[in-house]
Amino acid sequence: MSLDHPLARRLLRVGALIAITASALVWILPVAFILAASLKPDAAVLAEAGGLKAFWPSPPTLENYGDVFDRVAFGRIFLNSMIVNAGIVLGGLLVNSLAGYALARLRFRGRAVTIALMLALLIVPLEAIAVPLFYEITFLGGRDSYWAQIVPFVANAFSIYLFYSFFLGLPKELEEAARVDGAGPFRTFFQVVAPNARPAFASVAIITFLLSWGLYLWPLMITSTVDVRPLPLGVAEFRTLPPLQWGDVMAFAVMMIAPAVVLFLALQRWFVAGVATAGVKR
Amino acid sequence: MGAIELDGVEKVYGGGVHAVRGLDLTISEAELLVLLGPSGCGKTTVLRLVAGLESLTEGEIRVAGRRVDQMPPSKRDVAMIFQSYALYPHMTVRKNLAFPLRMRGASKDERARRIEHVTGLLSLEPLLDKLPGELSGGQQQRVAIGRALVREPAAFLMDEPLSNLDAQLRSRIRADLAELQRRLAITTLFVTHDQTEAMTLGDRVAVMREGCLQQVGTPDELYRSPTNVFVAWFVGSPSMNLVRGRAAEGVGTPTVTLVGDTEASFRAPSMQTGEGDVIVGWRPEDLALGAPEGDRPLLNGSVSRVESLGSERLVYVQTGLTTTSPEGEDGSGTLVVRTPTSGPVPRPGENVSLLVREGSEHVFGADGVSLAATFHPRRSGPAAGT
Repeated sequence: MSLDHPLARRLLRVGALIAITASALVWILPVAFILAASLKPDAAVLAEAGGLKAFWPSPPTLENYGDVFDRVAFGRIFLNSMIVNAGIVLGGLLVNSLAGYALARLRFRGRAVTIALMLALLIVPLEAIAVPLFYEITFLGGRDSYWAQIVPFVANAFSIYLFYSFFLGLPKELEEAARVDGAGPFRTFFQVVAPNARPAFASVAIITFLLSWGLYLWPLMITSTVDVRPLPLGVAEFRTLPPLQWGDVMAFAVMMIAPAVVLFLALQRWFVAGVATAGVKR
Repeated sequence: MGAIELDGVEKVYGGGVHAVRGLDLTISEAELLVLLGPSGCGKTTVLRLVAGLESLTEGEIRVAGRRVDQMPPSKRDVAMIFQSYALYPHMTVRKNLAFPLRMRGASKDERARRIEHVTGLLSLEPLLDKLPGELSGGQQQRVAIGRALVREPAAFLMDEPLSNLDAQLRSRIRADLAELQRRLAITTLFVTHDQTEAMTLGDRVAVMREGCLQQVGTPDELYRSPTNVFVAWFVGSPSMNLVRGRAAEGVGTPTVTLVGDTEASFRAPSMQTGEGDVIVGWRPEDLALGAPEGDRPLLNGSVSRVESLGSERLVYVQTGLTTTSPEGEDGSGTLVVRTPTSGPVPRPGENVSLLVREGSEHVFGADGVSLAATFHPRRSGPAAGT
């Protein structure tokens, strides 16, 4: 039976569907588990964990969510995360888009070297520079502050690269028209280039948000009080706070995931377009 | 409104590419001058130099008497229309029109007044609240013209603005553009590689090749009295037939012998006296088939191909002559004859005799420069060499 045979094609499709569903389930099940567990009475979480009931809270209760607010300053921790992430995302969009634009459009001495260095930076992980960075920030008096959690993550080689390749694909005539029409370089960028680079901005916003929303090591090193600590530290500490209530921990986790999901759903149209077109000349 | 003057303009790119060489050119006030040439001849570079999108290597550019070559584009008081129109995709037509005015700090009333004026002029009213992506090519073109007009600039720069339109629309917008330019008397530098566009639009046409200006003149002057082989060949469609020959002093008038597998001689009273290798050119309409009275056949050949264009017919005749091109490459010996559609259609393979209209030949020296008796080259520089 050849692969062109209708039955063979059908089998292939069914096989592919099964494979896709299976790999999707690997990701979805833990999330479904967390969501269901957060709505169960605490005692039921571990008791039902072994079976299908793990994914079905009956009857559902919002008690755990209330507990989280009663036991820790969740509002404060959530706000800390929002402030730090807003700083990283908004600052990153501004700085990295301008840097990517400059590399894509301006001709200056050292441009090629700068691009090579930027690409090289892509492979340096935070862990490799965490200790010297810690001394640097301590020296600058940044311990236990928001800015110490924001500044090191604003400029980002990957974001610059994504903007750079997107801007390379934008037609130059638009910018030239703006220049002839009387706009200076910054007005050209903000009023003509940026509005036509929404996919790139959305992609960078989502990617940056997801990466910095989950930052753990750096805030652990640089902060020590709940006044500035973000959610990943909060959930870790919450788990060690006696008594260990798994339902509460799950509720905490759900509230931590929610903003990322909302942001992704809001921007996904642009995100997909951005990833699909970045680096492709149109 | 004002003249555009280029004096000794040179442009050398970073890689050493010499894009424009010693260009002297004046576009008079209210004139539409077309810069014509094959791709890569430097014509778009000239436009971008005037706009300020490229920096000058040497020379001077003045717009309305003001030296502009060191100014940023925004200060030069010129508006540009791009080949791709370059409308801002995220702005409505109204905002596109307002953009150059806002950049210049025009008041709200002033903006409204000017946009209304341009909208009326170009019938843009129904399009004002649409985005460029919702418009047809022709409509986008009109908006691009509007965005340039709304600034009331000293001069217009147009970079092949019609090349993205289909043929029918192109000829209509071409006529509209010519009418508008005349009515508003805007000094315009128009770049194209399409010689039909150049001939129909331009008050004068400047032909460029490899960064050098070849000839400036009215479309008729270029067609009837090309100063060198390149202009002769580039202007006119189909191109002028170019044949290698040898000139000799005759009795009173010079005689030219065409060379190749066959030879043919004729007297060329239009040519300066002289001896040596020459290139002779005839327009397709200056050749004819058959043997009407009063003309004597130049030589015989056989029909290789016939193209019927409706109103006329192009007959390709294979001869033994050595045809050539501005680059000096020898061709296949085929001459193109433009004939009326009346009469029988010549069949491929048929033997015919070729007639020439007396005095219609263009004779060029071996260096490509015209040897016409009436032509006295003003400059020795940018000749099309062979």
